[in-house]
Amino acid sequence: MLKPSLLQRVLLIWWTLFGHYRKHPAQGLFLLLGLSLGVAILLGTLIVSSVAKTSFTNAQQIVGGSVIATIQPVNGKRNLPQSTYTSLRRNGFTNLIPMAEGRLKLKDGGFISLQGIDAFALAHSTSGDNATQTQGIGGFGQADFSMLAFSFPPYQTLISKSQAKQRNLKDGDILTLANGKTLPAIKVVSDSLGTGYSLMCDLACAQQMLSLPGHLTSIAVTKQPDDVEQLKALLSEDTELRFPSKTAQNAALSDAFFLNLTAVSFLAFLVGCFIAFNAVRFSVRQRLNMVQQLRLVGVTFGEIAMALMIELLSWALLASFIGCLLGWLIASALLPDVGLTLVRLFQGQNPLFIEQMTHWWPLALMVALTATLIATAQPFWQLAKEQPLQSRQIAQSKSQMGYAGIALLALGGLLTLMPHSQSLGFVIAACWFIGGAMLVPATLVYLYGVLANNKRLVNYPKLQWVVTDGKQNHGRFSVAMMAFTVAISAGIAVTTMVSSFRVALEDYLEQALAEDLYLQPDIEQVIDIKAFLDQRQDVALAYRYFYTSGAISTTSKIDNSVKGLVRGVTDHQLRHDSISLEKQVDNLWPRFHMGEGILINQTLAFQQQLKPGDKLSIKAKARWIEVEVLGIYYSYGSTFSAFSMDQNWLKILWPAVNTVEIGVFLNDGQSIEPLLNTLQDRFKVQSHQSIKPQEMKKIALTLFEQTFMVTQVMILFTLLIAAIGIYCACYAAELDKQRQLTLLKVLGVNNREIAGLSMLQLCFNAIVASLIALPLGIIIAWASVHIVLQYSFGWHFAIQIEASTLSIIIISAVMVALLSGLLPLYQLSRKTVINAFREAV
Amino acid sequence: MIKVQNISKTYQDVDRQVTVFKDLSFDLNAGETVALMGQSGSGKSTLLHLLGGFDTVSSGDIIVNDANITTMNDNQLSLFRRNQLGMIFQQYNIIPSLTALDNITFVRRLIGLPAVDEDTEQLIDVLGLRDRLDHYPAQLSGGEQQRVATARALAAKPSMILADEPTGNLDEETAAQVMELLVKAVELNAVTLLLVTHSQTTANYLQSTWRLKKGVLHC
Ligand SMILES: Nc1ncnc2c1ncn2[C@@H]1O[C@H](COP(=O)(O)OP(=O)(O)O)[C@@H](O)[C@H]1O
Ligand SMILES: [Mg+2]
Repeated sequence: MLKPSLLQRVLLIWWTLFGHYRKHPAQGLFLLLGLSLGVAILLGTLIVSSVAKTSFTNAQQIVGGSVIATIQPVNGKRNLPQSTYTSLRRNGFTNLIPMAEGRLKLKDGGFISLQGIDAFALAHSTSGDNATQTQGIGGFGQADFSMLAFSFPPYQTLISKSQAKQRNLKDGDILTLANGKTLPAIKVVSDSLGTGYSLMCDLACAQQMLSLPGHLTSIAVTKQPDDVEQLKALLSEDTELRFPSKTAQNAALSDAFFLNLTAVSFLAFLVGCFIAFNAVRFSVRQRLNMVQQLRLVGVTFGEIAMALMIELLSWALLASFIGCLLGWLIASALLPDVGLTLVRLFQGQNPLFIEQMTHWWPLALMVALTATLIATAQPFWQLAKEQPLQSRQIAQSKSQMGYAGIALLALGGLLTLMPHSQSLGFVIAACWFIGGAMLVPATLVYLYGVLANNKRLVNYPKLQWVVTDGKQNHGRFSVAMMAFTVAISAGIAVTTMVSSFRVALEDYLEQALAEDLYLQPDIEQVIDIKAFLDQRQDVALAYRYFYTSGAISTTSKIDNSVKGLVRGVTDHQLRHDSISLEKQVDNLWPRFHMGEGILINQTLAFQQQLKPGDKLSIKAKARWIEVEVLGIYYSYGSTFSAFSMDQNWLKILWPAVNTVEIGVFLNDGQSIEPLLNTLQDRFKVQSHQSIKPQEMKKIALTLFEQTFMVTQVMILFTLLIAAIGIYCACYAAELDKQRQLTLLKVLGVNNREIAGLSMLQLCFNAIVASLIALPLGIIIAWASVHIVLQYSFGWHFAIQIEASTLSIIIISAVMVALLSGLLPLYQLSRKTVINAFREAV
Repeated sequence: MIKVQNISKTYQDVDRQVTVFKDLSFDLNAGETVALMGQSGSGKSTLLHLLGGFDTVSSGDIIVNDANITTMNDNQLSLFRRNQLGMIFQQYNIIPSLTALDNITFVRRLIGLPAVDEDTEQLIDVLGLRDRLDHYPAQLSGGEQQRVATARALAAKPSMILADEPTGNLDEETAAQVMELLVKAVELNAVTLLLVTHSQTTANYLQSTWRLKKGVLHC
């Protein structure tokens, strides 16, 4: 007879080991599910966050985007000759987009704002250096040249989806103006293209509609010019380069958001790894016996290792494919609006996304394989090196693990005292995350131990079993409970971070865009317009917004001054309401307007380590004036130092400061259109001189809303996967418990009682784990926000703890855990004692 | 009093049927002690499992003290086990998380009897477990574990004990020890005992020996 080759032997061993899954297909299924879901969730989050990032960036385009400045007519002029643009281009300023915009009356009496853009300039100005990131005006990126069709015959008028809905327009509709002219056919485009509330058409067409042949209303500057002075010098005295002061754009805010999303995906990854680890661990635990037998009949360690390697790789490969597919499906189900539907994908309508996918696939596969290897290597290693007659009792070192957990938690705590940095924040969060999870088995064992010492327990034999079994057989559920803890605390951390971020964003918009109308008229008109506004019945407050640049210094080191923006605040409730304070002294506003002190932003407070009540000096009129810090307001990512003081006092300290900016608050229920029309008629205020913050806010919010919805669904999905993970983990642990339960059955405990006891134990475990996971999740969120964010971007937002959401998460997690116990119990109740014994592992 | 009437047991596999025995009938009187012998695979364990309600008959009735255990529901079966049955397996099967004492007294406490009474004390002494009461199963030798299992089977004063090769894993000397103790305790309380064994020596401790051969019981 031929001696079987090594490969044949290994394959035989592999087949023998694999027999386990033929006998227990559910376990094979859970293992695969655990691995695939782990991969899917990571991948899904990565895809979603990358797409969300694009849409988020687009969302910011509407109110400025990469338009960093505009060239505008001044001195009462309403437009500028197109030759200004051509001469600038000739002088090497290429990142310019000529625009003609204005309001037009429609035949039906309504108004539209029309924005005419030169598609050619648009394409050129956005094809700069890092083209994938630079989004042009209206969010047009490089890959969207097809969208430029609006500029070529047959011309189109672009309108955003939400505007189209509001105005009841669809593709192909023709708008007729009051003067009988018609606009090119309507083409509805995604909101994320950022056309905002204007309709967009070709420049020449807009010039014709607005009766501005050869003239522009402004020129957008999309990139910081190399030489601002040269550019200014090229402008005629009737034009001016202006940097916008009122936008919803905030790069730091979106950076922070992406850091958040990154954190989500890594937490998800951890959860996935734990699910996979747990699944593999059980399949290994349950085959220790089989490996022992194999070793006894002379199979070598090497052969077992190789056989396991084959199994491991097949699981990994299979799981990575399924995981990739799932992750992809999830992402596409979540993001139909961002161009991710499979249909669109296959029809090739979204080259940008296909580009992204080809970029994701290899990465996804690599990540999937690595994750699978991490999760499977250790338990398989343990299985492979199993000694022939080694005791099956796996060495129990739960208290050691508990101490290690405490040590990690303490280490994380100590690290918070260190000089902070972004990476330190991640390290702290990781310490707490892992330390907290490690604490769970030890805590459970400790609690069971305390309960077991209760002498009265002898009178309740069934309870005694619950407690002593819990204490002794913790190995069975410890990994499951760690996975449970990791899943819930990740869920809590993510939910807390995102909901806090959302509140911060809304507050930011509320603060940045509080007014109903914001005007930047020509300087000669400011006084008249202000006086006019003050008299109007519909105006609640019209204030001139003064600001300048000033220097401050903490009293101790006068020479160490910092420059910052000084803002004036008029004494009015509406102005007070639009400042979100993080900290403040008592009786703030009266003291503020008496000139006793100033409000500083977070950036300044953080840089100078200031808190309310501290003293500092501001430099004005060539001397230092000592003031008190009365409060700290959120800077929402602004990296500029800034402080606010009473406006009258500001004018006294800096008498030369002037401003053209006027903020207008309307009385409740008043519409803005009549006021705007009057201003246009009477003061010839042009459309680019007025900003409607509420409208900007509404559009910004709708767009953010989409991103948030996707994020929210992603979180739900994380939680769902965590739930499935909890289910798989607990299910495996419950199967492991069957032998002990069968013993009880032999002794005359009935099925109902057994179910009760088993559930009681599971419930206790789950509740203890949740009680550890809850604070864990919150401190991890805290660490992410207060350390990672604070030190990455110099600001943080307040952590919002939503008790109701968190309790729902915890209650449902415990329910899922309990649910996982039901099937094994049901199966147990259906089996005869003998079969239960035979099948118990 | 155990009445076994025409019981059959057939295992239904996917592709084949294994009939262990067919139309088996016998009576076992209260206080009778019987050794059940037979070749490996002859169905001795199966018979014991059926008598304890651990497995289900394919047909026939098993009447223990006037109650038919083949028609009992889970709850009734549990009560039957805790009140009337003592089971000793070859693999001991004692609860690993409980001490020897807690294992021995488990069923007593389950029924609501005081954990330990005079008889229990005596049982512990007779089985020589006095010094081992605080130990956990993992800390006990095989013989000690089997003695704990035996004590547990007896402690709640069942009317019958089913023992499946209780001495199969023990050396001769320990086996003899356990058998002596078991028989002594059984006779003391007039318990019915059906004990599976391969050893004639062990069988000799009991009143009679039955043999199971090709599905037929030779009494
Ligand atoms: N679950 C089962 N499925 C199929 N056949 C079984 C099962 N359990 C036992 N048998 C068969 O029933 C017969 C009797 O088994 P058993 O009662 O364990 O024998 P003994 O205890 O006398 O050695 C054997 O042939 C065995 O193969
Ligand atoms: Mg047998």
